[in-house]
Amino acid sequence: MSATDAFLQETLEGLQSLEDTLLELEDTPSKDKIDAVFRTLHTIKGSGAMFGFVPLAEFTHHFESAFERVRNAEIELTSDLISTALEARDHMLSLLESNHDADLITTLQSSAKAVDLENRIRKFLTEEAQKSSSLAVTQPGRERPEAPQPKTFKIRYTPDPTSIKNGQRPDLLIDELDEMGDLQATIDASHIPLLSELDPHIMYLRWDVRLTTCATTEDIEGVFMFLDEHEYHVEKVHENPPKAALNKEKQPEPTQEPTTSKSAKPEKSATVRVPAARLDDLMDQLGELVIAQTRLEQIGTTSGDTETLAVSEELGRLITGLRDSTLAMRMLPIEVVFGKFRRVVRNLSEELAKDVALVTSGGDTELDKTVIDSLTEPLVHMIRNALDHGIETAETRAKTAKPVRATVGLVAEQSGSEVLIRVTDDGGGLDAEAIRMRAIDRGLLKAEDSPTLDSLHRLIFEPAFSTAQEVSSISGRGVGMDAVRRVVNDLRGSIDIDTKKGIGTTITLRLPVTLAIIEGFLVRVGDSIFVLPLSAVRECVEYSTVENERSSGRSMLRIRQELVPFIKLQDVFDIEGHPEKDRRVVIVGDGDARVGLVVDDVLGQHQTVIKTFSIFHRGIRGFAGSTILGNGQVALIVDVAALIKHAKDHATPKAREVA
Amino acid sequence: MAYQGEETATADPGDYADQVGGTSNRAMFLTFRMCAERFALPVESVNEILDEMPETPVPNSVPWASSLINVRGNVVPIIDIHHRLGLVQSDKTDLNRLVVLDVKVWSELTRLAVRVDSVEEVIEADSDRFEVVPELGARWPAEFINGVAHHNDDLVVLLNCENLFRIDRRTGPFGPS
Repeated sequence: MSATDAFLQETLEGLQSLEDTLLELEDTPSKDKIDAVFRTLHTIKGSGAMFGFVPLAEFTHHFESAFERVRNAEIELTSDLISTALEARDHMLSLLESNHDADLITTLQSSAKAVDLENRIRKFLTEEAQKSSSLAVTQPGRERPEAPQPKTFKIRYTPDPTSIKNGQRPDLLIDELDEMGDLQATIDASHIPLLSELDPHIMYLRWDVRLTTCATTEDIEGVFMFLDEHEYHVEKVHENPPKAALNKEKQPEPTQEPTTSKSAKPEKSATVRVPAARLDDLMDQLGELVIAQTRLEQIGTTSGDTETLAVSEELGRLITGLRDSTLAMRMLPIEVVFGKFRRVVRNLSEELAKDVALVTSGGDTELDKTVIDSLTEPLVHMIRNALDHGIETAETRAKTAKPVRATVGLVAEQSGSEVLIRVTDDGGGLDAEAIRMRAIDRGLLKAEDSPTLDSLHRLIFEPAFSTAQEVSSISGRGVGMDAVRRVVNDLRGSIDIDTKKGIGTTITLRLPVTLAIIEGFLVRVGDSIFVLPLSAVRECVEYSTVENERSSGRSMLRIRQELVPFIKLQDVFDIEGHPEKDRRVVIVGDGDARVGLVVDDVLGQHQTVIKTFSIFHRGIRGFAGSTILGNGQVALIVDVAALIKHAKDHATPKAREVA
Repeated sequence: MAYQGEETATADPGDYADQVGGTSNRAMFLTFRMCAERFALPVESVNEILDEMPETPVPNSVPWASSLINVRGNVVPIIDIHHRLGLVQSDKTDLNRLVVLDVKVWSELTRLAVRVDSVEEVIEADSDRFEVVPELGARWPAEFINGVAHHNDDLVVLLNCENLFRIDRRTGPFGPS
């Protein structure tokens, strides 16, 4: 990763945490959080200038100055200020994203919104201090009024020879240090070769810097945050009281110093950024390891060699541990996206003039990063829907004796190998009759149809049902509820709706914890082995014992008074089966829909690593991917939802009534 | 393995260009046989050569990409180039090999395998020496062929990887869904 990429990523994360912290500040103001905001801004400003993101750095400078005043308790942290800060944060994001397009930057900077924003920030800068304090006019960033005695630091800055090529700017770094206090820099030019040997792309210079400042070691190291650790060394010099000067030689460090460096250092190395592709590679290799171990086990079993078997068992145990840690690496707490939703609720409740509180819980629930990434948009949409359509207007709420302040909940919890994410609201609930009318209107339902309540509710997920075109500013991002369902299906999850008229609605997304591995249920059809996701398997029955009713070409099974349609996998997949007398039917389900799959044999459970299809097979309906079995054979993973749809599409009118 | 032909460099007609100091575009090609014809693929795209192994058929797939194999933990599709080139399917022999290739299919680097009747050798040749096949003289779809060259009194047909493995993007291999 290049230094600029690192900067971009750090800044994006910084902006994200900035938003979270600002929103938290509004609810629970605290000194720590204000400091955190200030630190983030300071870092973005400093490193932004260093990496040539000048417009961003300049804008951030004003923003930072305004917050400096908050930090010094000169101005109050009002909701107005928070709003301005949030908008400023968005503006910073746009500046960051469009930095390399000069035209775009100019348009952005001269836009009415930006000008207004700058004026508002200026207002905070000039606003009279609430406390009559002489500190109010100190230049922001240069001196910290409440700071303790200035200390002197010795900094050795030895840029890597390749650092110029990577865009490092020693001059800017030194400038930034200069801003922190009184600076004396000495250039060590002893490494410069003869002119004939000089390569202008190589950095030969080193610096020795003596800095007297009120900043902490952490702050100074922050200046160097994009450099490798070997490129700089910060050391505190103790010379302020004469006593310390005496001790200087004998006592290397005062007791305080190690604690600060200790608390700073581990933070730096506590996390390692790894490209997702490397984790995928690791997962693939792990899959191979599992296969190799299974082979070893087979050799042991056939030869009866107990020693081989013991080794294989030991290997198996180690692999399980390795797999768990690898999977854990891909996990992120869902908390990382909760912040986004707080912002959505805040903006939307203002826009709709509805007083709404977002209550989240289970933020520490962990999910595969890919799942979290693809879930963000659908969840935002569901929350928008809850606020827009679910929560009633203030008048209506007053009439029904509900609390004026409505609540939208976002709850995550793990349940076995699934993660449940619930979006709840205490609004009016789904109006079955209104859905019915609209469905008839849109041709999704016939006037004489009488679907169950649940299937009626599920119609809101139909593409044609989308209301996006009607409420453009709120739901008009083209993400209808059908998109929510599609994403959830792609993630091999499912959706439940629970709604009570006048009390509220809960929509639950059930998602697998990880996408990389599924619990598979192996079945045999002819010579082929197929994997069904275990989560979709409801039960197995014997084919011979079920009542086989044929009605106009369509097959139904009677299972405990209920008729379930079934299909023969050998027909769907066009395979020559080996119809033995004890065939099985695996009943699989997706939500309420159920279908029986006739297979030749049931082979049992198997945990499998999913391999996505190549471009040649991606379009085949009925399969979700492939996997490698213990014996090294490739098997296909069946897409149950697609098969159920297939069964429905081929249903005769008579069968549809029952289905 | 059979493809490590030592006589490669000396017998190659492309040598001539080198001797006269021509600006040659020399490149290495893996040659193999299918239905007695000799074909070639650029050696850079060849990942490895494997003996035949058990395949997993994919139901409802196109006939020229109908099965999958396990190549060191990767699931790799087998592309039937006999079918693509309109050749008759050859009888199975012990010489049959699977050539694993890394090629770009719609700018997506894809690992795939092709079954060939037998692998011959790696030759070095001047890629300019592959002549364009006259439209009428070609027995194979012209878009799949980059050219023909003489080598050891034999014709070598250079295949066009890009077109050979390209699926129709408008519909995908399985028609509009």
